[in-house]
Amino acid sequence: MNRKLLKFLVAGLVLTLFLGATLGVCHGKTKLVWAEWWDPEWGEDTIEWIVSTFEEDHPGVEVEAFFVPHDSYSDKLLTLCQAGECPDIMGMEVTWSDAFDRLGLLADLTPLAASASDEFNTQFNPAWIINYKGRAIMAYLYTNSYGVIYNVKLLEETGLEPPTNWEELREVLTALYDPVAKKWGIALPFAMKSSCHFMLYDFWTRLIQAGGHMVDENGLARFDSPAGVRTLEYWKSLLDENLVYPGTVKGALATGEKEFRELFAAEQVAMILSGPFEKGVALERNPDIQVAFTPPFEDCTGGYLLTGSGIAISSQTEHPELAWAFFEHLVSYEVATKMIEERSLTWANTAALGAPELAGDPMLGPYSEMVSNSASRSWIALPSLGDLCGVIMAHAQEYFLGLKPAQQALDEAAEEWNAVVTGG
Amino acid sequence: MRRRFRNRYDMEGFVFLAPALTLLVLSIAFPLFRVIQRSFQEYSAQAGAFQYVGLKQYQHLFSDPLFWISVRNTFIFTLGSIALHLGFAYPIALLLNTRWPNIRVRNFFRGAFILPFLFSPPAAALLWGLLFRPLGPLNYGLSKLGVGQIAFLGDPSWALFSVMFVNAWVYFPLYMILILGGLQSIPKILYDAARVDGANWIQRFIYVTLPQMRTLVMTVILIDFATSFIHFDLVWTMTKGGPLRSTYLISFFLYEKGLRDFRLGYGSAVGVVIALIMAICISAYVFVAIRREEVAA
Repeated sequence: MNRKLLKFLVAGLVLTLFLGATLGVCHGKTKLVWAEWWDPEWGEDTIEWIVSTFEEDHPGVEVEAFFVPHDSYSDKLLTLCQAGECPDIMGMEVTWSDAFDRLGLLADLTPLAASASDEFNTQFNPAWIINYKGRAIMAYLYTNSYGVIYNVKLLEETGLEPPTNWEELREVLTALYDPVAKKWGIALPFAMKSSCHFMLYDFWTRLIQAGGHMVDENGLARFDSPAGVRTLEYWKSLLDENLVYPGTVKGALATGEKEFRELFAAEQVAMILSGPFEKGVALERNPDIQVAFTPPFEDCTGGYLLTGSGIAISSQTEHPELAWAFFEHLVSYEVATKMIEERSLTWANTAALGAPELAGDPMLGPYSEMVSNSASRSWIALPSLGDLCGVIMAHAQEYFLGLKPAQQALDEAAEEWNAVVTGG
Repeated sequence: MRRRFRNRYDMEGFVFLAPALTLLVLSIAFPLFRVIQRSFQEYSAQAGAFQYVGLKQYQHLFSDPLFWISVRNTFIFTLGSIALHLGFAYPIALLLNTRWPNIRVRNFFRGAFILPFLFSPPAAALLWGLLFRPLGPLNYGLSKLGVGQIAFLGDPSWALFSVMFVNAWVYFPLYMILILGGLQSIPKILYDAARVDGANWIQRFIYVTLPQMRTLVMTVILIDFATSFIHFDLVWTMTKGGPLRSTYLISFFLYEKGLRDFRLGYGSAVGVVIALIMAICISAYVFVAIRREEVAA
């Protein structure tokens, strides 16, 4: 009896060791962990397709996509990395990059980019690699620029042509303004809760076209210039003429991104100022809506702000070359074409973005022109971007409310901005 | 001869207390110690570790104008919220404690008044965000009454009051239940005695109800102070501190510096200062309240 039991135990042990060894071989593949927040935007199928096509090309590699919602992404990743569990490849926003870089969590991409493939070198714009404090810390997967987006049907119904510059925009807004029916042509997020939207989309974009610069190469303020004053004065003039929803300055200061998206999707306002992703957002709320970018605007100059969302490689990874290979796969022509065609995302691949069939697209056609303008400026990584957005918004609000002149508002904002940037 | 324990019963007592004491040390004292320790340190990416920086974090904090704005707003928000909570909760609790012609109607209202507390703060923020819109139902009603449009969340002079009001709306049921419980525990014999002495209802309220409720109201104020002072979610969802930082609270400052920017040393210094402010205010309040009770006695 005892001998039988012993045999049974030995057999069990041998079987366990065999299974363990077999599984060990299966897991002998090199594992890459990719943290991302894109499941809802791209769809899980797309994520799986991206991973499986990479794994087909790299049979010895297994990629684990690790989804974290965008709202909590930065906090959770920072905590993970602090615990030494940093994913090899991390979805990254420029806004978060300073916090990660300060803790030494981001690998320098410069040596990896230097040995990149020919396809990558010919199809990836070097301006899409973000440098910060002398190191390349992240690279864009998809790019964004912000311009005026309009509801095609609403403009056609009123017989108005889409505006082609800022003064024409004012004329169209004046034509659309109907105080009795409580209708406005545009809603702009001037509330503090959307301070980064205001700073990047409304202020910075308009500033570029007013011929100004937001910052110097060290991130110090340069917006306290005549172009900055011209920018603020333009937005205030629209507010003062009641052309911005809901017709009062104080009312506009309560309008955030959520509100303006609802108003646009519900066809209560005909225009917003935002990025190409807004088409998907509007269609989700209103499947019948038709949206388009206006032709690229020009004021003193043309050009738009070039931004995006991208990828960083962890400084803790044991496989930086493989992580870079995965990034190259993400921005490859194959993936870019799928993302542009199926998801309407402006993917960081010049060959896919410049495809002739996209020229007639109401969103991607004008977008391609916007980003190709030589006066366009790249957004740079800045420390404590949330604080900087708050600085610009708070002082702009004071000017909009008539509490101080534009130049004073910008001077004070510049002083606070520089204190944040220099850590003073 | 020195004896650590007078007899074996003392020793046994400590043995029984040990698990609870260990848990307390691990869950309260140790994190508190670490936060205080971190507030004198700064993370150095080069060294890959925290380094001692003396009082630098505190000097930086006290010279930051945004910190002082947040302190001012937080005190206004906290005191306003306490006043509104008691202003709503006390009269309603008194009303629900009186004899109603129909007990079912009273029970219905007892349930109905608790409803706002069932809303999660973000849900309440969304609801009131819709109601407060410049062209929303509240402003529609006001325009019908001949009052002009009010930008509840866009006007710096209205925004803090608006978020205080929503905070009061969400949390007054909690305090109402506490006060109602206190009212029901007052011995009926005291009211009967007051009636025999010829006291009218105002006199019964002033000389019986208020003194009997003093300790409970003090507790309610302390709880409300402790929770309102570090309030975050509702106001963050509604205004994120704007317009013009008129609703910017100290908890936002802590979140932004400590968690969003991940400046753990600086964030810890903010946390320590918040804890100190709260400890001073609560101690001062308890001291004054106890002294008043002693004088009254």
